[in-house]
Amino acid sequence: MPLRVILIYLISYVFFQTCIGQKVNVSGIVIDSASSNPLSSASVKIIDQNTSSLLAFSRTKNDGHFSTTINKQKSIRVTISYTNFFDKSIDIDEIKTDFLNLDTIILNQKIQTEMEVLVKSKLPAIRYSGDTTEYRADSFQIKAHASLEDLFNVLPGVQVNPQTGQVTHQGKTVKNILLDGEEFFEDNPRYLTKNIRADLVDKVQVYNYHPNQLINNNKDQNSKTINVTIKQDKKNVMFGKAMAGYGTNKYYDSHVMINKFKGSKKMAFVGLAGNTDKASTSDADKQISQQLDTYLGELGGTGLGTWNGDYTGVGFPNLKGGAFHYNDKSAKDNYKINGGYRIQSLGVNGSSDIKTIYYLPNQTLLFSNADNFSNHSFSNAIHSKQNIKLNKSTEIEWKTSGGVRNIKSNNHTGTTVHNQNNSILNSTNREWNYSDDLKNITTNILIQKKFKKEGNALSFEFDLLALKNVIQGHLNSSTVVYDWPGENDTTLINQRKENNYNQNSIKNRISYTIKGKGTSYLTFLYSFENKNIKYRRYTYNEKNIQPEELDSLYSGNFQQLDQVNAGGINYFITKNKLSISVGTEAGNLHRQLKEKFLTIPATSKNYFSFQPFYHLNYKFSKYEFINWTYLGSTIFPSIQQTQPINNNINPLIITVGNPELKPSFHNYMSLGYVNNKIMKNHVLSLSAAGSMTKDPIVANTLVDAAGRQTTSFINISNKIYDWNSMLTYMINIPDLKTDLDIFSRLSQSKNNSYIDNLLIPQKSVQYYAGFSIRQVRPKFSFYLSPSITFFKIKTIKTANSEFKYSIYSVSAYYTQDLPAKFSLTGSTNIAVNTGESVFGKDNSMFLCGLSLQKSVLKSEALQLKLYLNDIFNSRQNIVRATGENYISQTKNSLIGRYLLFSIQWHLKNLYKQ
Amino acid sequence: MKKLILICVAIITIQGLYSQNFTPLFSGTIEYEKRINIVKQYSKYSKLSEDKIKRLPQYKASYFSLFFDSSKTLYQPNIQKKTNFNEWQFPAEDNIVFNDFNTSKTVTQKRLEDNFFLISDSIRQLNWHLVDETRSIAGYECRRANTMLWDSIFVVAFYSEDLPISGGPESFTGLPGMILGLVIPDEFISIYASSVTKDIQRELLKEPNKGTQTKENQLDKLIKPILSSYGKDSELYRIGMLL
Repeated sequence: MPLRVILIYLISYVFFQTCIGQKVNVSGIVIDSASSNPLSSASVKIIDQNTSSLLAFSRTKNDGHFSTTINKQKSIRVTISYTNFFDKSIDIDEIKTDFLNLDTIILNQKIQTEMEVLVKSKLPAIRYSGDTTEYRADSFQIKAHASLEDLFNVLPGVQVNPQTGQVTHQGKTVKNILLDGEEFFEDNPRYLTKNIRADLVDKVQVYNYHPNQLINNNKDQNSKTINVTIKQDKKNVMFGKAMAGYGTNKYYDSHVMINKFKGSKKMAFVGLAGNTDKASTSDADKQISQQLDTYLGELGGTGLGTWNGDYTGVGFPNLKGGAFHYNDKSAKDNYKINGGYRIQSLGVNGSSDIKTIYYLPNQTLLFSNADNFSNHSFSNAIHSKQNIKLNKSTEIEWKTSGGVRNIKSNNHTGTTVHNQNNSILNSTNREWNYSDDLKNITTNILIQKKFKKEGNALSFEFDLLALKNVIQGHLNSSTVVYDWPGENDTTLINQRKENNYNQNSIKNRISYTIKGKGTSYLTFLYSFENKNIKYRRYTYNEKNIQPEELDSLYSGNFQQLDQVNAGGINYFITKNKLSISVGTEAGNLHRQLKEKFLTIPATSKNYFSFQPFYHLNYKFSKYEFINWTYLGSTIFPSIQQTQPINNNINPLIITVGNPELKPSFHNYMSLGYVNNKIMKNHVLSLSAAGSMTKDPIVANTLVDAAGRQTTSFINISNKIYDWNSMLTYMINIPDLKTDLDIFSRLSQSKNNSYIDNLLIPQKSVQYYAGFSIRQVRPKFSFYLSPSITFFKIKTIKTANSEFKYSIYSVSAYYTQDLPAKFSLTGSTNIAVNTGESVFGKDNSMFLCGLSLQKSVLKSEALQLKLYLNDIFNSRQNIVRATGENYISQTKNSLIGRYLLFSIQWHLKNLYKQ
Repeated sequence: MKKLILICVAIITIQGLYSQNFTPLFSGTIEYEKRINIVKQYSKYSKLSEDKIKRLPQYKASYFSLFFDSSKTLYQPNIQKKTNFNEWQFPAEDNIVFNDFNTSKTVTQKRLEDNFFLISDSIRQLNWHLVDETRSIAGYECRRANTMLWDSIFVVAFYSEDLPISGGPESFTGLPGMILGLVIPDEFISIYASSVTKDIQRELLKEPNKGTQTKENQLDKLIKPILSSYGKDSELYRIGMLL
């Protein structure tokens, strides 16, 4: 027995000796940036990056040279400091040799006036580690009571759109923002950025992917995730703010936000009410709307519900809403819960004016559309997510959500169509008033089991969805078609519509992963999906007779049953600097269609689907890498394309189905290069992507002399090509406290469209370029971003074959601190659209806003603000869009000029556990 | 003549303003003030009566000097400044600590009642964790570091890199600069430098020599019999002696 103990001791001793015994010599020379003279007696400290434990320290000699020895460590940070100079920290994440020479280290002298401001930045403010960028919140200067949004605005590379609140990092959209790794308000970034105080934040970590994602196929390369961590000593805190404002023309805006964090518990409440465009902080029922849009999209939409319950900045809103959030976890993360409830009432009135030019082989048509709407929605939604660790190997995640939404909408639309000679072809006057009731419930259960052999795992996913949508409305329209000069043909529609849409679907997915040699994984997948859609719509002609008469053309009782069986295999391997993932999924879609109302025979079809992919990533170094991705996918024809549902909301637009359509196959490939020169604060990223579609389904649009459009769909043998390239360059100049981003994007596509039964090949080019400058100084900050978009479409074989236009736009945002705790903020948004005189002279948008704020009390907890919206009272925004053979320009009504006075009060209360 | 002197003074002053190059202080004297929250410290170990609490001052302040050159330090009580409370003996009140960083040797003289102990050993090794926090002490910018003594007592130190000697009050050393502030929250003790001067009497930088020769790890055994009569306060004195 003692012998064994001695033996174990000896073995472990030898083992530890070899592990710990390795020494590393760290050396370098420290010089002054201004004079290039060596600095003697500068302090050199080496700490462990993870524990910040001091490993060794030294002083530079008279020649500025230092040399010290440490035990071999995984990751170290070398910090050099000298009185009246800024600290310099160098992170070394992997020590490969026994000698680490850091060469010349340049220290910058502190300028007296800035010493006070920058005294905090001792450790590196920004760290890059592979795909992750980490900002230390304390290293950046922010005002008292600043929110997370204000903090984001001073982080180099991070930007928050002042209008929409959308966060971007190095030009890429940030989709998810997590708080301590957990969703906050069901992952609604706006609530999080407006609500959380910046002084509670420890670190802001930006990931290229969702951190919870294990092996990603990089299908969503253009979005990022931010995780915000709260300081250890701020885990027990209660904070919030309350704001109330009243202005001219009875505009008002108010909100209350209360948060309580207690250990791992986080609770938050948000309540808001207002009728200004700033009230758009809420998008409570966006999710249910999006869900319905996805399902109905496949049916080509019902074409009936034109509003999705959302305020997008157009028109005059009136919002009242509240939301509650709760999340908690047990001590060892064995149980996590995350949930919330939302209630919202939103009214939006407004108008929009849309002009569209269609280029046809022998004529040009101008569609003028004037829309007036008055919408209201009331919604309730509840959601919960639970994670349960049954034991070390088994984990269950259970998500449930449900919602009820009621919409009442009144729309009045007037459309006229003219040809190039300015003679009228047709005109429509339409009244469409409806109510839209939506109920939905979803459940998702994910069970993951890890096996004894590390890396081997089994996962089972179960998805359930039930959705019910009822639309009831009245359509009143009169359409005049001027077939012949002097003669006209008038169609009157006076109908009542009743739509019932029901969907139930179940999806099961099972996957098994085996770990191979080294870092390689093989995954097998199988999924089964059953989708049952019942769609009953009745249209009654409203005459003075009872009972109402059913219009058989626009009525139906449709049933769709989809069954999908799919299997797949994925392989992932990382070796040295290269990581590869490759795989494919193949399956069968069995689709049954029944129409009970009309005497159309039931059809059943089988579609085969195939989705191969590969993704390669090669790292030259930690900061420089390339990506190469290929994705192939089968695209099924939609119901709209094979068997459209007749719709007479606009009787001049008719869609004819083609049951013979075949699936088309889409190939996508992208290549990207990223270089983060961290020491010099440069980020360069280049990417190019292209796609090719085989047997594409294209629309064949026939427009007759009177401007009636009939659309049908066919497969064509010509392929459709599309490619774009992107360049983003970002530099941060610390001395000037300036961020400079340069971006450009070139897109080209080779398309084919059918117009009047003629195959028309087209080439389109879009070029977008610009730059943005952001300067953040203690008392002044500004952001300026000019850009230009150039657009050109060339159709081959036709006479009036080319059209082009440009958009010049500038957005700017600035704040200036004034004496006596006053501060001034301004924002400007300008867009000038050129080309296409058809749209008229007034093609420019000019929006400016200005606010004056004063902080009172010693703690600056109370803020008074005077805000002037749309100084020049231009009252409209302009959006251009382009399609295969058309350009459209939309002018939306905006609130316009108003003056609002508001008071905001901040609360923060730290307490002990 | 007066004018000449004035001009000279002006030149020297301007010269001083212009010279930005900073020279660290390699030798000098530091005055420390040690404060103990007596009420809290004693309450931690034994229950103090209301009467006693009323009679006691909240803090006991005592004063120490630290002489240093580029390799040696001597920490000892400043006898010129009197403590505000001397009704009974406190542990570590008469500690004299001598460190030689070239030979990594430390000699400490400690007193308990009328027993003197002379501990000579190698300099204590502490695992310091650097914290991103600064504060100014006696006109010097100090950085914060934390450590755990004997894995149980949390110690906060503020050291200045402008004094490039790894010394400090009591037996706390091992940072990239002189410790000008030391806080032991659990024992309600704080030691802060009140002044730093260039003056030094080098002849004072000598090892203490009074007491029973011993090693650091032997001290606990030696004081145990004396502390046996202290009752509930014995742990307070034990920790105080070993710090």
